[in-house]
Amino acid sequence: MRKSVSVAAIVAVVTLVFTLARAADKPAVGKPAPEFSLQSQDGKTVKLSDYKGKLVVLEWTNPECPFVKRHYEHKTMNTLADEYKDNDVVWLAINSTSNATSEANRKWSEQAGLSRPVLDDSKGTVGRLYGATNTPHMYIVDKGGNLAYIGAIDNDPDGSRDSGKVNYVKKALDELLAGKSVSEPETKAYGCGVHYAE
Amino acid sequence: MTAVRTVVFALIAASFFHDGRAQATPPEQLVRAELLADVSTVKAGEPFTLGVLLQIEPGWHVYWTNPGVLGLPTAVKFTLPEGFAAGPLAFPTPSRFEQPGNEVGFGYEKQVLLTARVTPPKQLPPGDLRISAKARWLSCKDVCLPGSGELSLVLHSGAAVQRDNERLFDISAASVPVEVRLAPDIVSAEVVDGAKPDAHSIRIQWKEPPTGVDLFPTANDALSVDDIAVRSEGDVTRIDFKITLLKGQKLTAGKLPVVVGYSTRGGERRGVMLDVPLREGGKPQ
Repeated sequence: MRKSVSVAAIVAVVTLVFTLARAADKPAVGKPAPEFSLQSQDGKTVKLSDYKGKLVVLEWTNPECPFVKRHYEHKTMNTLADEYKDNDVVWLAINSTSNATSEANRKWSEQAGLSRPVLDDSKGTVGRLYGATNTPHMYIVDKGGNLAYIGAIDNDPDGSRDSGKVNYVKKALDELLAGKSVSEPETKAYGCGVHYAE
Repeated sequence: MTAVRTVVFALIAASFFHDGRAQATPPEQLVRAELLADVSTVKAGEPFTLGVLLQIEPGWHVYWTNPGVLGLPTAVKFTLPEGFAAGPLAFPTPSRFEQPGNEVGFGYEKQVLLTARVTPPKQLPPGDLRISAKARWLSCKDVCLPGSGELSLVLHSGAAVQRDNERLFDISAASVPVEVRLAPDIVSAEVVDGAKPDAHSIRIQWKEPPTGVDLFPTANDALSVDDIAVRSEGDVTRIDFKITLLKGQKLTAGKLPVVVGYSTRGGERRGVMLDVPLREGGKPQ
């Protein structure tokens, strides 16, 4: 009896410590973007710190998610990534789906016409570190390595908005490139859940 | 024991083969949509109710107006004959479920009837009335699949109203959240400010303690509602939660309407609407 109580207490303390650690570490706008090192679809190791001094867009993705599919059919991400690539804007897609592989990411990148890295985070470490909850879930890292934007790609979750459409990532990139601060640094991401590994 | 298992397995296998499908249901059958009315004959000037019934494959769900962290609200658009006016779409009280990534979702399992009150014109010649509706939803289980349906219904106009589908519409109406003063199961409900500016509490005293009590914040792009904790003791439930304004977003109203959902002992899903006043302090530091 005594033993089971102490085990329960240890579990409770461990859980509490873990929860506190998680809460404290959760990235936020204005705070440093956590470093990561992941493998791209062609087997190269990509680190966030490789792009120091550049604007980096992180796009959490899952080729199977209908929200992601719609944006790829409409070329939302590809158009934007191409539009800004000459402005020292690096765009990294990250797939944290538990069954993702570099090989599957390579096939998808060819099929969906992505020339940018698609990173394999099938262990979910980086997704959890960043607190990515959705696909798509967008982050922008500023030239100083701090998070400048966290949220949705746009304000049109089901693609049915006729007027007043805002692409938050485009808006934030324009503001950052003009030397301004991001006027809407946090929005609500929408989409599928991230199918993290257990 | 083995024999029993074999028989059970055979029955399961037989049921799969019998209806010609393996484990996967074709996507178009995950949610079956139907347009219904609570009348078959409409009388001039007398309001009736239209409803889109979604029957959902076991284990799958569709979403409420605020889907939670992921998902998409279910949407219905009615097309009515000239002179008919439809009110807002009424959503029954949702349930809360966990989804991939342990993210909380708000919505419906098994079936849901989304309704709208419709008022016919004061002058209505006898004859057929063609009504149509377009429904869109996202159904999710381990994965999500979008669906939609173009639905239609023919009603008649006449001198006397003829009721139809009464039980189905009554169940749905009883499940749509109501104001506190109209809630049949509540002695009192109040919103209390927490110690910190972003902390809020709701205290409810029940006539009979319910089960499945949960907080459902209405959709708001500028606000994040977190750390929802529901504690019930005897006939009192206290719900604590945090509302924060996302950075760079503006408060568009001084309050956030929320629904407290619950299930009665008889298993009926009901809800009560409350307004949570927002304070300036709810803004991020």
